[in-house]
Amino acid sequence: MIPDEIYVQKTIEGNAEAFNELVQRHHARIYGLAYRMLGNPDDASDATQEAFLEAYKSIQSFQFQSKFLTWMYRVGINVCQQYKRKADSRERTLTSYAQDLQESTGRNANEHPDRVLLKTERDQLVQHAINQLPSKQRMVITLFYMQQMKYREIAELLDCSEGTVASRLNTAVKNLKSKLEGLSLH
Amino acid sequence: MSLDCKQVIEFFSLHQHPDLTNQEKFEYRRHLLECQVCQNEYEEMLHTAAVLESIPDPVPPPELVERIQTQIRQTHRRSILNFLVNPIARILVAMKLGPHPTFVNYTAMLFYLMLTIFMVKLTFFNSTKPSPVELTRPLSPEVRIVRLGDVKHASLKTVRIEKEESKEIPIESTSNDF
Repeated sequence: MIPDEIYVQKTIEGNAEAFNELVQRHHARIYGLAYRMLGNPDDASDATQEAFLEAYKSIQSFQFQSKFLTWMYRVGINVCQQYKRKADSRERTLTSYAQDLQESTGRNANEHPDRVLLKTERDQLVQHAINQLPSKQRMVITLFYMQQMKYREIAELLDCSEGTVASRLNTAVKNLKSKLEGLSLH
Repeated sequence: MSLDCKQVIEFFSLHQHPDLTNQEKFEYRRHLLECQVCQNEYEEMLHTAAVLESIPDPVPPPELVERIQTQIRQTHRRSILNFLVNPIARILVAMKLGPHPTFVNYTAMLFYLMLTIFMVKLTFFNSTKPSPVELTRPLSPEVRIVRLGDVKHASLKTVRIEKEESKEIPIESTSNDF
């Protein structure tokens, strides 16, 4: 498999298709990050698109000192934070909650309807609880649990120490636990 | 050193906290083994973590990749166009300065503004007033040879100018004492 950095180099040299290969490889992960941070699929799609476009425009600033995906995550986080500030998230989250529930029920047609509903409801409630966390805690939870990143990578991404990442993660899990208890999911 | 429940919960780490010393880790584990309250708390947090890990990754819409790739291609074409229409940007690229598309646009605007000003000046403000040097230049003589008539005290009635073809130019003169 050709390393990402080769494609980055080709992109810098003016090959847009090389960058499109990177889009093909990593769009799902950036979408996952955006979805967890913004809480609804429409904003997540828009933010993913904007993040890749932003990355393409500023590819010259990539220094080859970190992985492309780590750099891409940083761009994605910045875009999501801008989106979060702009979006009237509460209304859209509630609307998308109903849509997602309907879509997911349709997707998992092989499973028993009751189980699908329960699983989807649980996932949505967890996502709803994550959305209520402060931005920094939501970010570390997303990166650690959903994106399976290591402390070192998260620390590099968020420009803080590994200890800070661990502390935030602990606080986030504690907060989430209390929120999930409130939703009688625990 | 022994830790109380509050400290353990404060440092509660499902994950290996990188800032803890080996001694602290040892104390932390020992307390956890001995204290039922902290064990319960720990298990609940483990459960929360398990719930988080069990959530499936969201699936991006199938048209998302194509949408992004199309936009990347459009942006690329636009940047090429900027590159072609703006000679300044071409020079910057040749110097490996790698200008940002916004910068390219602004330099293009500046370039064409300067070009327009130059053309306007050339068209409307071009002075046609002759220079003083031309005024001082001697006029070329139009009359080269004047042949008078045979009469000794003839009054000048006609002057014949010899150029490429001779012409008879009447001169109205009243002078008789030539």
